[in-house]
Amino acid sequence: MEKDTERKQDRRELLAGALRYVTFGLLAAVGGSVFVKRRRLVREGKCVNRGLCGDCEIFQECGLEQALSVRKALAGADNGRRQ
Amino acid sequence: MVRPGYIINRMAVFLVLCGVALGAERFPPPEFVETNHQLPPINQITDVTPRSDIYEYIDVGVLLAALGLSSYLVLRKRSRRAIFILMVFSLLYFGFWRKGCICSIGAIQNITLSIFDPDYAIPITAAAFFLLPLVFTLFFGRTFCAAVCPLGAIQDIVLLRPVSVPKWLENMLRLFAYVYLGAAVLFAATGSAFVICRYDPFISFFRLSGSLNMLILGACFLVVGVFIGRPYCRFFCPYGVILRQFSRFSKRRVTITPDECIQCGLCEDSCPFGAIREPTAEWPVGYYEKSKKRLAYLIILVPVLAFLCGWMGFAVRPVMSRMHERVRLAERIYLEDTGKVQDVTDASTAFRATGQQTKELYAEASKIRDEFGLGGWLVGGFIGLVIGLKLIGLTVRRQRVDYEADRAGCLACGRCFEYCPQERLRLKNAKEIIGES
Repeated sequence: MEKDTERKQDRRELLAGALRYVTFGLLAAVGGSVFVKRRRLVREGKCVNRGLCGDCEIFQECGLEQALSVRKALAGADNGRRQ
Repeated sequence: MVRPGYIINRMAVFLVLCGVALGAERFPPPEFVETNHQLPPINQITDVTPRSDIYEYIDVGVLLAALGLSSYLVLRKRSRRAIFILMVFSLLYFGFWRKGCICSIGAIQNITLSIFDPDYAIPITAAAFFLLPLVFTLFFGRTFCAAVCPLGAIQDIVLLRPVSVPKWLENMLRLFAYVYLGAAVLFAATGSAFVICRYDPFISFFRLSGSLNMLILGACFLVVGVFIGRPYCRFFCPYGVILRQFSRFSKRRVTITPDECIQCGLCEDSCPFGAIREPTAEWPVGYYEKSKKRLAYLIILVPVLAFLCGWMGFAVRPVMSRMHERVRLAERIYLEDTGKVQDVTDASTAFRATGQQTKELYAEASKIRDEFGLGGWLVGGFIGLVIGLKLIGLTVRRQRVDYEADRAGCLACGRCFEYCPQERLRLKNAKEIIGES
């Protein structure tokens, strides 16, 4: 009886372990794919931040119209303050 | 015994926060009616201050450190006090300092949109905030909920007079979280809205501003949270749904006692989340045969439930698709064109100014409705499946000889450690050993 319970427990542990590593693999795949996609979009010259330059990590180096426009506006605002 | 003065003090803090938050609504931007002056758009642009990359990486680093520390405190140190201190830090940093954004719960939507929208690139922070707690849960249980999530922390702090929720009610209320998760994924996948962010009840407190409705909702959650442990986490949190499933097969888990359980039952009384399972009695005669028959019926019922719920999801697609602004606009244009409404809206005027054909707009709206139809089937089917599996879960009885923390439901808060006499004995022995040396 005890052996039977032990065997059941072992089987459950084995299944849980398998599930754990499969899920871990899936998470790694999701993480990897979103990262690759992001790099591809940046390389293709698409806006990776939906035009919200405020939170964009690559705002300073971005050559897209939206970023250029925001940078120009910010520079204008600075000049205005200095005057 | 909690003193009434203590409760009043805590409530006063939140009322003060409400007062500050309402300030944004009390003082809207001025309207210059006489001079017809418009606020220059440059004001909006100057508000755009790019956040340096380094801060993003610091946030991810702090999250990683907090997760690691939380896992250590829950599994090795077993100290409720230390968990509480880390929880307060997380509330201050991720909640009030970072203003609750980005949070792991909302990151579900970023991940979903990233999967479904070919032009959307998820910010690295959002991806990290979604993935890291899940990885930690896979290996150490729900240590993210224990001390890292600011939404959990704000509720845990106000929990002063816990009352237990009946099991049947708890099981039913938990279904809301699955519906919420399904709806959030559907709306994010179709690019309609980020509903988790829009209806985050605590964001107004973290940002000290927000709409009156959301403030009232948040205050309601906190008032309920005084008596019912973490109501948002247990009954609504869509991220909690994923964490629950992951923690079922986590490598390590919370153990109530460090030694042999003496079955005093104190841990069960100490848990405000009803996450401690008591030892089971021997199966009554004939129970096994009866439950086998019931299980067979339920297994047949699962696909029926999934189909019925899927059909219901499909049936509500016209209502749900109105969350998408293009569908709303198409309906408005249709009403205006057919003369059912006389006035025009800003959105419809702007649409007509673009010169786009209404046929194109209708086709676009129809495509979005179709997407909602398919999504409705899938989300409804998922909810039906959850209900069916829940019923099966209630039928299958697992034998337990000791008091155990429920692997899925345990939030690893560490309250049960303090109450366990064996744990106290261990701590006393440890102190004696330290004293001797």
